[in-house]
Amino acid sequence: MSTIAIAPEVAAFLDAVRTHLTDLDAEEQREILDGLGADLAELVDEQGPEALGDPAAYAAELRQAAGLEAKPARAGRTRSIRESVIVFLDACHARFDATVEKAPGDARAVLDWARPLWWIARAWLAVQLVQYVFGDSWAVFRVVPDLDGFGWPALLVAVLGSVAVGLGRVWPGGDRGLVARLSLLVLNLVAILSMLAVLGQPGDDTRYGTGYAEGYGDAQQAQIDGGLDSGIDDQAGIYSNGDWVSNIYPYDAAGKPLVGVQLYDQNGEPINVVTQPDCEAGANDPHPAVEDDPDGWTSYCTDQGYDAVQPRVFYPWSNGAAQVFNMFPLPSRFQEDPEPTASAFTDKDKPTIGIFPMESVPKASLPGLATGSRR
Amino acid sequence: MDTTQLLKGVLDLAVLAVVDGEDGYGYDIVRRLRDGGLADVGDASVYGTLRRLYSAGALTSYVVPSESGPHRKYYGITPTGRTQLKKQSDDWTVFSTTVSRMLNKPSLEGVPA
Repeated sequence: MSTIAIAPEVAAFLDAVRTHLTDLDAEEQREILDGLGADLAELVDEQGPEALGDPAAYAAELRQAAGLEAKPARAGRTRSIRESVIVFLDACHARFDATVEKAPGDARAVLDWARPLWWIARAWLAVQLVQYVFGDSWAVFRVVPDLDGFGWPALLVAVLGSVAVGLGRVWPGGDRGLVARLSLLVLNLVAILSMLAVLGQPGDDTRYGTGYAEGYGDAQQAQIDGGLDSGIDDQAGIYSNGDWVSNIYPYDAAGKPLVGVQLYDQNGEPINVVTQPDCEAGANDPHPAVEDDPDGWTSYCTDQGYDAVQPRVFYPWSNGAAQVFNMFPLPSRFQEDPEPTASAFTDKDKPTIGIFPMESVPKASLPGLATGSRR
Repeated sequence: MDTTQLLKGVLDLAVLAVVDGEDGYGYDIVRRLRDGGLADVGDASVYGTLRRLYSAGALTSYVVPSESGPHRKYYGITPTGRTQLKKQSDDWTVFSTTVSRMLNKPSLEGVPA
């Protein structure tokens, strides 16, 4: 009798008694249940398991004798939290019902019809969640996750389980207890949140990669098709020491500025600067602001303070038949529209060749080589 | 007459009395009470009473570990418990004597006020 192992029926009885004492705080519970196992075990040892009787009655007797039955303040508070949660849930439900009743059309019928669909959807989401949490994170997104080949069986089990819960056959479905209701609420919330996560993920990375490349290509094409010609991005035009050249200012051998010089390369191809609108402010010519778009949301150029400024737009020379872009300096002007406008040279502020960066440059010569126009 | 109603009133006294002689654990005390003649006493009532007397400071408790089972909780009487035992014991004697005398007389006449 000195050593008494606790029998399963004693353990079960003790657990059952404990469930009737849950309103007591932990210290009181410990106090009242401590050592009870050994006493009950000895009772069963002597008189058999039948002697245990009804746990509820036992707990009531224990509680009454211990003077723990009447704890109005504590019990009241515990119950009131519980009750207020229940009241809150009921209120939410009532408000939802009222909203449904007031909704136009037969919203109730639609919801009733949609409920089984939701049961299936949340089962599918649960399987996706399992895949997301436990599966290979680089795995390709599939409607039915692979899960080492168990995707379909897992989905089937999940659907059956979810429908059973929905029909109230399996806990927490059908149970109106607070714990069951809260559990169901949490599970459904998790399902809704994971729906956002699943639908928000980019899909398989091959598709993602292709999509990205396509999008990038489209954007580039749009830029080219947009009439801004090929931009500096594709290295068109003239570069000097790696810097984009927007205009060329020629000087003659005497160091005097020249206007109207046509340039060709060794193959006879015209050397064109690219007539891309220039947003870079020169030292002496700050870009004027755009009046109707001070924040620069739609403007082509913004300054360093992100305020909209007018781009410098270049205009080609003309040989009568075609525009000539290899003749320098190219005239330009500030204007709000980044595209050259047809009426530019009839406007009051028509394009000019601007100010030469230097009034003159040092003379240069080679012995025996004549300068000026070659006849 | 239902003795459980009577028991309720004197359980504290009975429990203190059987613990006074020798420390004991719950079931041991139940057994002592039953052996002493209180056959109807309920285990849970006794355990609850032990917990309550312990909370009131009338009993002390200590745990004796068991090698292969749950530990036993032993109870012993404290000086407070002894004082309580003495007082309740005296009360009981007066009360029971009074009731006994009442029962032995066919009429209430002559009972000292």
